[in-house]
Amino acid sequence: MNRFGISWLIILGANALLFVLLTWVNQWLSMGSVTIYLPAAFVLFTALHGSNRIAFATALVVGLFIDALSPLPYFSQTFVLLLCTTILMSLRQRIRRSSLMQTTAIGLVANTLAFLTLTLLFSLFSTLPLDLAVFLRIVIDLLLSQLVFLAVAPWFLEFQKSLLSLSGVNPDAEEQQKS
Amino acid sequence: MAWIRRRKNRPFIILAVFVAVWCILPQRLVQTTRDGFYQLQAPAWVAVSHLGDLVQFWQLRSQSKAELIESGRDLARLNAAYSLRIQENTSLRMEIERLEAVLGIPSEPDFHYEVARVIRRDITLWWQQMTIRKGSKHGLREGQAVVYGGGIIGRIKEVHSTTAIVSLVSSPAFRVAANIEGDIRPVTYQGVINAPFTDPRGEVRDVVPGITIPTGESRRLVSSRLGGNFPQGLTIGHVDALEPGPDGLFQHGTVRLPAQLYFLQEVSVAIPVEPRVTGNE
Repeated sequence: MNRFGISWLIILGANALLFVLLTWVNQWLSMGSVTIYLPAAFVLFTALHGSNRIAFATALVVGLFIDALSPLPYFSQTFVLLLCTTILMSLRQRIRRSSLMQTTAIGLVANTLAFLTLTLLFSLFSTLPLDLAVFLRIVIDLLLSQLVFLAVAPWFLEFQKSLLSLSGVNPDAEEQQKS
Repeated sequence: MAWIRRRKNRPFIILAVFVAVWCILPQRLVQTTRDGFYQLQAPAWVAVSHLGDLVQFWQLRSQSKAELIESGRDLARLNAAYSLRIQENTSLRMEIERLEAVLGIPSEPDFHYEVARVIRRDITLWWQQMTIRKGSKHGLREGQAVVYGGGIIGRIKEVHSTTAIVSLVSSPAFRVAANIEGDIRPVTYQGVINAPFTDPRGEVRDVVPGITIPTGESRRLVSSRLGGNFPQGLTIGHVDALEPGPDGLFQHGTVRLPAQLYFLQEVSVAIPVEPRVTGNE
């Protein structure tokens, strides 16, 4: 298998781990009627460090996997991940990608946008009345998701970077060459 | 054309191409892709669930013999009580069948229960569902009722070969005909959006004005045979109060659902039993 294939499988494996962990946490949080959404976390690393091919392939496959479990029209969550990837890729030249603080901050913005897009899509496909309870739940879910993103994103970025380093890939090589 | 050639605009072009391709894909291909991606990850979820069972098994193994003896004793008492109930039920069932034959009314649908482990729960603002470790291979079909010792959990929404997705009773998409305990007039139960940090709840609608709930008391909301595949008389939740609806003709109220709904490990699917055809028919 070539270098691209190995890197991609490693990234997919890390994303699968994050997805399982997120499902467990959400199962536990369901007792309090709150949910965490971290769509940007799945694509942050590949969108900031990967090529167009690897970034969009990751967003597509992860999105289709998540979509297969949700009752929404297929491709809705994939679209959100692709959108996230597009936004992050268009902004990545303006930040220092080796800085965890900058990458987390840009990820936070992407996660907010993704959350709001998901909320818009959910409300379009749902027949629910948008009352105070819905608004309150959206606000609480968003705040909680952002807090968890702040805690998880730096760890997850470093985790993926370490996994790639173990397989002999240096994701910062492109940026180091430029500087 | 210069805009397309610019490197920084390429992600937007790729996104537009993805969306355009997805829009023109045939619906059958979309469904096949969805099924494929579901079937691809289903074994992993089943494996994770088996792993959880194994962990639980080893936790139970570490319990002392004294605890096991106590549990065994409690179970023996329960078994004795249930044996008596089964005998009572048999005689009551025979009495019902006799009365049905005398009065010429259609018989109650009969069910057998398929026990299934819960693999994962997906409790969000917009939908609430769980995946169970039994599927079409075990006789499960869409629309069948899912129950547990405390009452109704939901309805099967999607069936795969070894797994099934259950729409929970608290899900805003869940609606079923019901009765307020002790009254035969039908009402409608509907799941609603749950506010953060609250127990699951639903709403009862179309309650005729004659039905009242005294202050400080609560009445059980039970399933009705009008609700399709649901066995009659199973608990959906409890209603504390009713108030006049916006139309002024009917009442509505909040239904308290059991808190266990979101952390059940095992459920039962009520599979309708086909009526036996006797030689005379």
